[in-house]
Parts: sequence; structure tokens; C-alpha cells
Amino acid sequence: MTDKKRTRSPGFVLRPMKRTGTQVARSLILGKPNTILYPYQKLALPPTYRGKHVVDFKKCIGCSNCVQICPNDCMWMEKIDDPELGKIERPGVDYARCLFCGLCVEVCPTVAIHETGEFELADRTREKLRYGPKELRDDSYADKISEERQKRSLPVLDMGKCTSCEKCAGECPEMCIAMVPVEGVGKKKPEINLAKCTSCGKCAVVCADKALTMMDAYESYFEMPEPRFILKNCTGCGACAKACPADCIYMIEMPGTERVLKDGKKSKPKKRAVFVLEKCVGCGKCFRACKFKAIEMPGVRK
Amino acid sequence: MAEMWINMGPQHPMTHGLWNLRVKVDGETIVDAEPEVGYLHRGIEKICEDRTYTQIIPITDRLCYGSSLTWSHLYCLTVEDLMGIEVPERAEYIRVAAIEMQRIASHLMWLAAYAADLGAMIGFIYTMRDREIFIDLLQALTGSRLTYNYPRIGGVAHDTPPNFERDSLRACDYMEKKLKEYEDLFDGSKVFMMRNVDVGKLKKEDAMNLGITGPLLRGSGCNYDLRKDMPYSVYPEIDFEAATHPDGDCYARYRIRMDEMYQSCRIIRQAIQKMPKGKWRIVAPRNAPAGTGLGRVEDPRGEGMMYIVGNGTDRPYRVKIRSPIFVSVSAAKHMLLGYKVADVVAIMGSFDMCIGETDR
Repeated sequence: MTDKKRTRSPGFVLRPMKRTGTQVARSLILGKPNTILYPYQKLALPPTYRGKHVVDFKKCIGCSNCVQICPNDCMWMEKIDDPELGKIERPGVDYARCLFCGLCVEVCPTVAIHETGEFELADRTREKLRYGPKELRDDSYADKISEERQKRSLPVLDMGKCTSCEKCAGECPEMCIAMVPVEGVGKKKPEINLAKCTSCGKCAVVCADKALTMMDAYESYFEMPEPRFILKNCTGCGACAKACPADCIYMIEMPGTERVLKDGKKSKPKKRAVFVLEKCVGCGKCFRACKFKAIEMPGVRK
Repeated sequence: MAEMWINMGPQHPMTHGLWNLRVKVDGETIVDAEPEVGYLHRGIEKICEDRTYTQIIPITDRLCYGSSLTWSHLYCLTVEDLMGIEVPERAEYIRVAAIEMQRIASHLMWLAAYAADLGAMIGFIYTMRDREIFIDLLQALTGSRLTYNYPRIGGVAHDTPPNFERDSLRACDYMEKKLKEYEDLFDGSKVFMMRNVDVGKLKKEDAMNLGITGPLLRGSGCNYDLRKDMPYSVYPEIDFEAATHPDGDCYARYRIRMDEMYQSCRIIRQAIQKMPKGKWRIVAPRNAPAGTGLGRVEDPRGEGMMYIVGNGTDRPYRVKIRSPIFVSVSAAKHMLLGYKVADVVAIMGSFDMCIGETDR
């Protein structure tokens, strides 16, 4: 293209005029305008568009992963008393600071937060741009759209019911279940290698106590930090189990730790926390709840 | 006649952003020039040190309003180099198609601003209208109009929307038709040619010595395109040519960008046709190992480079961003000397200034 010949005088007039003429003819004869009357007509937005959020209160577990990944600190968790769901924590968004990057939607382990096509958020004061969880609530939004992320069926352990019978480990065709002894309790706990698991469901069928059940989980592309447990610091207070939004911490009694009280009776045995990390969403709430430095989570801020 | 300094900027229609060009004039002739940048310094490199690797992606989008996707792509490329991750092939092809669309959109925005600078208002309106087609395509792909936040460490955020292939092939056909229309409008306009040809000459030696990259260097006759010379992503498998022009004037830079848009249409077509099916994203580790990562890409404005030092945690120790325009603007003196004040608009307009990435 570099040796394109330079235009001479008649061309200088005729070439641009021809193009302008076609444009005028197109808009006058065909009547095809290039613009729309914005407030009355609106452009069609794609389903991927990132606008104002909605939060599904029933799906949300209150793990605060969205708050932690927000690059601008524009989200916060608000404690609310819902007549239906009880005392819960749900996120709110400050649209004066929001980047609309969509990371909160991507990181959500239960796909409870969505971004709608609503973008007209301008208001007169900054306070009105702070949208609390009640203003963001829409429990039926997920029905209106197609599924955003892939689901995967995974065996989930209920540690309270497990009797360490080792049947599941024997049944697994991929050999992805390992029985790991839990220190202090004298029991073994099945640990599932989720990378190898093919979701066949045989372990759940063979489990007599229904401790292993198949549950649907959303696939996540984020590697979340995992809590590390230090047994010698644990007092068995149960604050972590209370704080855990995914119910993956079980307080199990340790036999042989009973103390003799003054009146000669024996106290209840000491408890310890047992983590079922397959369910863990990596939010760090247990780490923040523990006052005795029994849980470590590198990379998470207190 | 007495010489005097004129401040063109920080608020001046010529600047396209916040920067100051001080020119020393003798009558109407420019005898000295001195660019001043730094009015838009936001400390992005420092902000990145306090964010996790995922959280930085939307911030790198804010580096350049014209081609934000290139910068977030460059960031992900660098972190992948640091972490040693292989990206699925489908993700690479989606990325290439997306950044070429971004290149067309960026060049069209440059052409719109340049045409408006030179008094061709019709060029502004036509190019902005056609840029909308590529912005719409990118919006359907990524979910946002300007700050896409689409590439991720280990792939892209989500798969292509339905009909994306069909729409982008149609957009390429439409664009090639429209590029011929622009050639008629601009190359056919006497005013445009008089203000461009033999204005703002930059010698090949000067351009190479000053470290200039991108359309300015290729417009001076040096065939240096990182997509060809140091291929990244899947560019080696795609057949295209790097546009060059020997003249080194404003017209040459305009031609380079027009030819690049033709080549981008070619690349998008091939990327869409060669795109395999399969995964588009893999799980990336949270922590980067201690070490360094380096990424270099051909931005629409020149060579963009990022250098990241990891220290084993989930946050980078240091992020260094090399901006093409920050280097190119040092050539302002070489290009302006001897021309008239009225030519400053044309010469500096042909830089395609983007202050967001220059000051960071």
C-alpha cells in the first residue's frame, strides 16, 4: 500500500464528495439513522453486561469473599435480621467507588451475586449511591438468566455422622479417598482428592451412615487460601465453627482429656476443631474468629 | 525577532490529555521544544504492590483508555511468565482476536481525534460511528464498553458469546469496506494531504536512537513489530505483515495505522477460523514464586513492557510498566524543529498520545 499514487486536483474534489453523497443518500432515502434517541430508546445490552448487582439472599452464605476480592474496598458486610432467614450477613455495594470489574461475581462460591444490565445509577448525593443489602436483594434473579458457571457433583462429608468405617475408600474406583487419622480424636476421616474425583457417586452409595452425600458445587477458577490448624493452641471454644459460613468445621470431642473436678465427677472431654476442607470456601472467617492463634491463614489479613 | 516560549497545555485542544508542550518560537517557526509529562501520575505501580494478583487486572485496565485490553493482556502475560503457567489454546486465540479488535478501535479513535484536530469533522463522526461496531463486539465478549477486565491469569474470564464468530467476521468485512471510504475521504482531501505530507519528518536514525517503537518507528522505515520479531501468544501461527512506510512524516504514520487496521482484520479472521474448542481458563495459583516475570507486547502505540518481581506471597513485590508514549514523546523536539506553530497540532496528533499510560 505504500506506493499508492497521489491524487490529482479533480480527484481531490470528487472522491470525498462521492463518499459524502452516498452517506446523505443513505440517511435521506433509506431513512437509516446512525444514532438513537437515548432516554426513550435504549441500546440492547449483551447478557454479559456488568451493571448494578443483585444478591440472592437464599443462595448467599455470607462468606464475604466478594468483599475481600474487591480491588477498591467498595463492598461491606452488613448484619441484618431477616424474618425468614434469621440473623444473616449480606454484602452491600458503594457505587460511588465501584469499578464494575465483576470480580465479586466470579469469586462467589454459590453464585449468589449477579450483575444486571442496569447502568443508570446517577443520583444527587453520595449517600444514595451506597446500596445496602436490602436494596440489592432479588431472590428470583437466577431464574431469569441462564446458568453462568458449570456445576460439578462432589461428595461432601458430614463429620458428625462419620464412623471411620473406611468403606468409601475401598469403593472409590479412582483411589482418590485417603483415610487420614485425626490427631487426638482417635478416628480417621476420609479426605477426597477433588482433582482426581470423577463424581461417580459410589462412595455416597456405600456410606451406611449417610455421612457422605453428593452435592452440587460450582466450579471455581480461584485458588483460595486454606486454613492451617494448630492443635496445641486450640481451646475447643467453637468460635471458628460458629463463624464458618460453609459449615466445614466440626467440633469433635477428644476422649481421654477429661479432668476430675472438685466434687469427684469427671468433666466433659475437651473438644477440637476438625476441618473438612473440601467444603471450605477460603473466606478466612475462622482465622479471624480464633482468639488463640490456633488457625493460620497465610495471605489473609486480619 | 525575539524568541519566546509558549506553553501548549496542560489544557489545550492539541494535547489529548493532561500534558504540557513548551515550544520556543521565533516568529512562527519553532526553534526549541520541550514536552512535560506527569500531570496525571496516579501511582499505579505502587498501588499494584498492595493488591493481590487478581485484583491488579482491573487496575491495569485503567492504564490506557484507548486500548485497555492490551494492557490487561500484557499484565496477565507477565504474571503467567512469572508463575510458569501454560494457557489453553482457545484462550490464546480469543485473546488475539480481542486485542486486534482493540487495536482497530484504538486506531479508529486516533483517526477520529486526528481528523478533528486537522479540521476534518466528518472524519471524526464517521470513524467514531464505525468504532462503535468493535466496541459492541468487545462489549458482548467481555461485558463492558471500555474497561474490559477480560483476560485472567491462566486464560480469559468467560467463553465467547453465541454468534461472536459470525458477528466478528461481518465486522471485518464491514471495516475493510469502510477503510476504503476513509482513504477516499482523507487521502482524497487536499487539506488533509497538505497538512500531512512532509510535515514532522523523523529520521530513521533518530527514531532508533531515541528508542521509539510502534507506528512512529515503522513510519520512519524501520521494520520492527514485536508480533513478528518477538512473537508472543499465537502470533507465529497467523499470517500477516507488519506495515512499514519509508517517508517518516505524518502521512506515513497515518498510512501505517490504516494498513495496520487492514492487517488486524486479517488477523481477526484467521484467529476466529483457527480457534479450537475446549477449555478457556485454568485454575491459576494464588501465590507467585520468588522470581521475575517479563512480558512485551505490541501495543497500538508501540512496545509495552511489564516487569514483575514476585516474592512468594499473593502480592507482587514490584511492578514496572514501560509505556511506549513516555519514550516516544522525547522525539517531540526532533520532529517539531523548523516547522510552524500550526503544524504542532498535526505532528503531536500523529503521536497518538495517551496520558493514562504515560504518567501511570
